[in-house]
Amino acid sequence: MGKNSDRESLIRIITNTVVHEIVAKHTNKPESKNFLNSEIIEYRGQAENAAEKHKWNNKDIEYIRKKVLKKIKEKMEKKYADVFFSMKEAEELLMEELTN
Amino acid sequence: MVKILTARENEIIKNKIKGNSLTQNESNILSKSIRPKLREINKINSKEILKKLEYNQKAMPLENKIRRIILDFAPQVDSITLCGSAAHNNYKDYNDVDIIIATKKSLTKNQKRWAIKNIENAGKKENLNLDIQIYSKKSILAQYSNNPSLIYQLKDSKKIYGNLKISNKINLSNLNLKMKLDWSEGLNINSKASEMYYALRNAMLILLLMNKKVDNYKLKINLCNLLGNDLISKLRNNQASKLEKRLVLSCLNLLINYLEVELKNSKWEKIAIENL
Repeated sequence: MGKNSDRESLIRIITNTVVHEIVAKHTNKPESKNFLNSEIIEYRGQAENAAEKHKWNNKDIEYIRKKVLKKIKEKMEKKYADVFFSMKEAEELLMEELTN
Repeated sequence: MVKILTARENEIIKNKIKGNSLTQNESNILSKSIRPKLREINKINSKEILKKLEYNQKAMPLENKIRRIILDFAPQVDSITLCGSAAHNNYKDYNDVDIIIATKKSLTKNQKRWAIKNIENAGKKENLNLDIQIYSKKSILAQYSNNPSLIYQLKDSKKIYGNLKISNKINLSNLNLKMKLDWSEGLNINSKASEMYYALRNAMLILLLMNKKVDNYKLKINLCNLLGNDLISKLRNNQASKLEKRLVLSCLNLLINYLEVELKNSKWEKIAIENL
């Protein structure tokens, strides 16, 4: 698999990680929190595996950041419209993922 | 020889099939004993159970090796559980050995990474392809009844160290099932075949759970019936062609659309499954 393909894979996985974090933070169902947290760990593990394969420069990271933010917005509107969150919050969570 | 049906019951079955009239007593035996016994037999997948029970002289030395490697490298081990094909087939037909390690206390991210890396490397030296997951015991017990993957992994699993007592009742919420479908989000023709396999497996697993079924054999058969053994194997090994991936994506999209509509329109908040 090439770098571009791994980058797309990384975008997909980080989007899912952040969306799960947002839903876990805002859900009123405490029993779902454990499950969502375990899914976040699994997504993170996959993201780490994909990220370790290549060296990512600032341009790559900026591209991933923009794409992930766009996808988070789309996904939250389409699938989790009843969850109230701000894009600022999503951006903060995303930055945490990218720096880790 | 062990007899499930008595000679009298066999006689009653023959008479019934031939269309001979039965006495009141025979009719009672048919409804109170024969039919319930046959229904129970029908629930059992004897072929799969026999496969598991079959003696395999390799099993014990393999498990000893695995146990030793894990205890050498993982700290605070509470229990070691084998899951996946190695556990299901008693080491007869498997690619890798899936293992869940429960620890007494939570490990840090670095401790986990270090342990997994060292265990997997030590396994390779012994010709064992180990796929390790580490969670604290507390976390496993807390998430078990809400986590579709974990429920399937721990079903038909084999404990080789310690004792992880899990509940035989689960309570899955609509939200959890819906979010499990997210593994398929954003997949396209350039995605890895193994990611498609994982998404497909998750979707099929949700379909089964929605029908209150926790059955690894059925999961495997359903996947093979949908795409064929060959293609499933290619997906798992990242060897599918673009054309094959296109086919998989269209199947996956159909399945996901169906499940999303079903979950959206469902009236239940939670599915409870007992006697796992």
